[in-house]
Amino acid sequence: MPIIKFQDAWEMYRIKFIIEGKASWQNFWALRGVSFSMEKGETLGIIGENGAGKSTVLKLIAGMLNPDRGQVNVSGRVAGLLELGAGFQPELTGRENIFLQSELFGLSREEIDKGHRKIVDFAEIGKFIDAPVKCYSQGMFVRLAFAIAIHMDPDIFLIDDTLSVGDEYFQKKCIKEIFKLKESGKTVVIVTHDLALLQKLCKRAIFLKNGMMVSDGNASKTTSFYSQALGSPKGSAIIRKKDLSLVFNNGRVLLNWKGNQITAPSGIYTAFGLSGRWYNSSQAEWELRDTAGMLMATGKFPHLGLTQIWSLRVSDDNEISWDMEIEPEKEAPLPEVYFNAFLDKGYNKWVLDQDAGDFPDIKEEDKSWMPVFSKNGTAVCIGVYQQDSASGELPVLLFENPPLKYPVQGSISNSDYFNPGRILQFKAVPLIAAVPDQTGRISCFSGKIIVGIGDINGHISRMQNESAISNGRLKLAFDKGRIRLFFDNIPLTKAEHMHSAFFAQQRWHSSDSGRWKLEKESESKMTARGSWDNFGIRQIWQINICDDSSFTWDVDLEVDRDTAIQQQRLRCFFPGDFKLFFSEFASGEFSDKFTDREVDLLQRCVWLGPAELSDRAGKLPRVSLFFSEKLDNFVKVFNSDFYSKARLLHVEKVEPEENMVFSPGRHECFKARFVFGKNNTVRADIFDNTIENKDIKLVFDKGSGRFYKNGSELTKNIALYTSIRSQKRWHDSFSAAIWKVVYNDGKKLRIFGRWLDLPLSQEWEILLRDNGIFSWQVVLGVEKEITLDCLQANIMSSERFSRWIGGREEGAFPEFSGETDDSWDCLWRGKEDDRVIGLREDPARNLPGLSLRLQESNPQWRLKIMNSDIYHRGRILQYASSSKINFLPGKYPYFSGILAIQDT
Amino acid sequence: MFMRSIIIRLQKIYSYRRSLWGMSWKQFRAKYAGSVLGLFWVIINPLLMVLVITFVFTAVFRTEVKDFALFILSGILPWMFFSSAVSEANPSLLAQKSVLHQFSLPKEILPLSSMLSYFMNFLISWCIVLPVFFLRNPGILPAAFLLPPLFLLTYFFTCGVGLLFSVVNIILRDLEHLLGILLMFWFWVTPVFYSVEMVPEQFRWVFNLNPVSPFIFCYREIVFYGRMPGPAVFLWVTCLAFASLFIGLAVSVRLESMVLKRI
Repeated sequence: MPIIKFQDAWEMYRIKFIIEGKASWQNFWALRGVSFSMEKGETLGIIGENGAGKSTVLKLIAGMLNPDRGQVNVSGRVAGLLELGAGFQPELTGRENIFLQSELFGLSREEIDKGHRKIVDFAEIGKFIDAPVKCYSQGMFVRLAFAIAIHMDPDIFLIDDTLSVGDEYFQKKCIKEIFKLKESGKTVVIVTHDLALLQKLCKRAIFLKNGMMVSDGNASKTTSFYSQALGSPKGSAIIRKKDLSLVFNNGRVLLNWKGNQITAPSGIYTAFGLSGRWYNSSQAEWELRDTAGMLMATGKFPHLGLTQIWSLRVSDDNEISWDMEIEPEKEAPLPEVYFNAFLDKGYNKWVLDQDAGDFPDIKEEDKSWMPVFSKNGTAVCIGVYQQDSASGELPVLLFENPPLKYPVQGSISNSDYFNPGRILQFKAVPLIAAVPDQTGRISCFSGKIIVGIGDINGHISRMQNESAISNGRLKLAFDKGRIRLFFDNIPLTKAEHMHSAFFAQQRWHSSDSGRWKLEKESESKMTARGSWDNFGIRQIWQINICDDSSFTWDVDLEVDRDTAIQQQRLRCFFPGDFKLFFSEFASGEFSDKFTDREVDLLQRCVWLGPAELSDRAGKLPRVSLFFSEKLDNFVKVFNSDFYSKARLLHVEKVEPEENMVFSPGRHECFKARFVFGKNNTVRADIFDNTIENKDIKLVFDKGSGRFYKNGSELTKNIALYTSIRSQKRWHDSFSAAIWKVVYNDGKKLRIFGRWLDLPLSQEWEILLRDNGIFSWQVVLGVEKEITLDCLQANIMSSERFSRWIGGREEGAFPEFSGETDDSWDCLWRGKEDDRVIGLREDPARNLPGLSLRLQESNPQWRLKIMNSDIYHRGRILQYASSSKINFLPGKYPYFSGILAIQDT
Repeated sequence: MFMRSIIIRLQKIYSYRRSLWGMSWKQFRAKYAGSVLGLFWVIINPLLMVLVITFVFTAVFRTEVKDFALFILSGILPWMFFSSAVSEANPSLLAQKSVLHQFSLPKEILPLSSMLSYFMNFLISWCIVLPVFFLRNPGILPAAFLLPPLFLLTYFFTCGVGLLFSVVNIILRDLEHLLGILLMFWFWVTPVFYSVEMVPEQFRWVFNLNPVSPFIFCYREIVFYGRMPGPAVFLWVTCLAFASLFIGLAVSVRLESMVLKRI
């Protein structure tokens, strides 16, 4: 039978308030439905803020109060220290008070005679024992009071946070005595703010808040719970469900699962940057309103003129809904808001939508948060779980938001080494579409935290399968603007997977920032529609698995009004296991070193024809990507940054300038086809890009040609190239055009290049003869009538050449000097009949001479010798037109010359 | 249910009987502590009272009634016990609330103990006064055997009223100031200086309603007239005593939570 039993005990005080002379009575519930019971011999601690109802509980136990509702049953005699000095007669001496109190407690004469000596010894207040107690210090008082109380030999002993008045020596003595009481099977109830003392004395503790019992159980769990809620009581509240309890404490939400905190130490909070400073929600002044199970919290940032309004609700199946609104005092751009959930480091697995992975270990050198994974979208679901659930009690936690009007970024990070933990974060960017409603508020975020769902793996695969099509070995899962690719159930894409993006209004918009609707037409065909409401842009994806090793991905664009979209692209992220890439133009090997930015493996060069990836071991299927040249598509290959660590196949579409604006209606943009596991998609007749004769070699490299003698390069940087100026912009052969080797017999190399932004093409023919002489001929193809400002053919040569020859003149190149040479410096300009220029070097330096002789000359073109800027540090031989020329469609000779590399 | 809680309360009070006794003994002593004559006042007081009343009524008023002083004494002793015990019990909860804040006593102990100390006083007074009555009329002896139960009934009755007042005083603090007037009025409608027979017929109902008058009547019958009060009267007094005690306890238990909060 319990010695103390509280059954739904309620206690109310009527309190008289006097405000400006007017008295009003208000009811104040000191206890609201407290239930607990204690067995004989138990020691219980009670913690809580001031005014939480702790002393009321003690008074109920002592019978000094009766519950207004419910029942309190106490069997046994109660004594203790409830109010310091109560029961003492100030005029009587300490000794007399001992007798008096012993008598009052109902001890017999003999007991009093026996006990009084023990009390005097225990109190250790010396001769003061025979002085009136009104002369006592607080410490002496508490010594005597405790000594008397503990020697009354009660069944139940109560202590109300009075011990702290005594000095440390006496406290220790008291604690020893309380332990003795415990051992002798007495029941002890302690109210204290000293959590260490509480944990020392009690196995069990209850935590009261606003008269409600928030926690009852293991003392260390209860004290941890209590310390979470410490803070301004105006801004703290607790919601309890069976396994889950939520502590809101002044701008932080802390979650506890079965009594253990899972959001240690920082909890869940919001943060934002404003005028160069960071603020987080715990810096606001919070006020709470508890309405019908919902917690309304208002946090004011008084100096920022900004208020955050949170509404939190916890459902019975452990779902927390969290809505946030912002109320700006004046019109001002709203900051990006971060929603951070700081979680226990015991979590070792993360989920982000359909992705999942392991958390890396937190290393000693991690001084700041280390990103692990992130994803954009209008709706993102991020979560953590513990794989080896036997080791701990951490429940699965998912943090998600329903689709918003503006993009959010969900990311997963590790925290720093000193505060280790896992971080789930949403970055919400409300400023794009933020319009306050009539109440002046902006709805900013609406999230849901789901705790403790059972089967996380099932949850993920369900999410994947609901939106997937498959045929044989191929499976494609649509994921909010992304496609995930599986081959024999092995994921073939990673990081950002396959998605599209378009460039409009000075920004890239990725397909995962749109709002998507999926329609599955059959088991192997689906159509996804994504919309960007504020641009009036929609994308229609048609994904069709053709057979068990190929699928097509067609992307159409639909616009409501004339819309300028300069560039569009499809991006496919493949795992780092793919090591090799192939194309009609060039093949190579991926580097396993990733940097902080994407690396274009072909350096600004783009080409036509399919691209392929393969791994070395042949474990992964070879991936071939075909795309439509008719739609002005071309492809690039990248190594991604080190966050993604992926190989990128990238299909791009750049609009010729006059077509930049899309008219209302639907436009075909991409037609991509992926083929898997076949080896022979790239044509066998790839031409090599090198011609060689004895010690002279020429390599054509993405729009520029480099030549070597005895393996040492005579050209530099951009080397042999052409450049065309149209409408005040330069279009260089190595950056503005896409190239393809069309013929190579080892001596003669023919290359075809097409400009992306201009209706132009060039065909180069390079013929290598004996004696270090080769000819370079360029023919210009014009598709549409166009006026060009300037045309150039250039050779950038090594800075080792120190002298120049132009016509009959000769001179020395000046040295490159730091600051001044940031533009190209013309040293010699030829006349109409000048046909030869050259470079020379001191004979001692073992460098051949280089000369350029025109085969055909044009009266409007001139030869020039230049020194480049400090960055290129090259000597330039140039043949350039000097005035505007209008071209009609057709073919035009552009340049024809002979380059001689000969020893001087 | 309610009866049960009253019984439980009685049991609890009984279990604290030592405290009750200790406290009343302490108060009894405290009343005379510090004075030169000390405990002698317990004896001197009633003796002086007898002398004063005799002097006033024989020398000053020269009343016709034979032994008028003793007539009054037989009534005024129980009345003084009643009125002083009640007026002492009335503020007892407030005055000693610190005791309640230190020990988990049943709060009734406080008024009960202060009334008990007066009861001791009362008994001692009778020990002095009774020989005087006996000397005047030795024929009272047989009737005097009824005195001990009557004392007890008087104590019970007083306890009930005192408990009631102590509780009501918490809720209605004005009672403290009103009590003097109330007791004075009560005194004059109680047949102490007169007998009920002297009262005109039309006012007699007031005296019949007054629960103290049958007690006074009994005392006077026994010690002054040496007569046994009729069984009806004695039964009536018994009922009054227990009813009063019950009401006092019931109110005290009923209003406990309110009372505890206010002290």
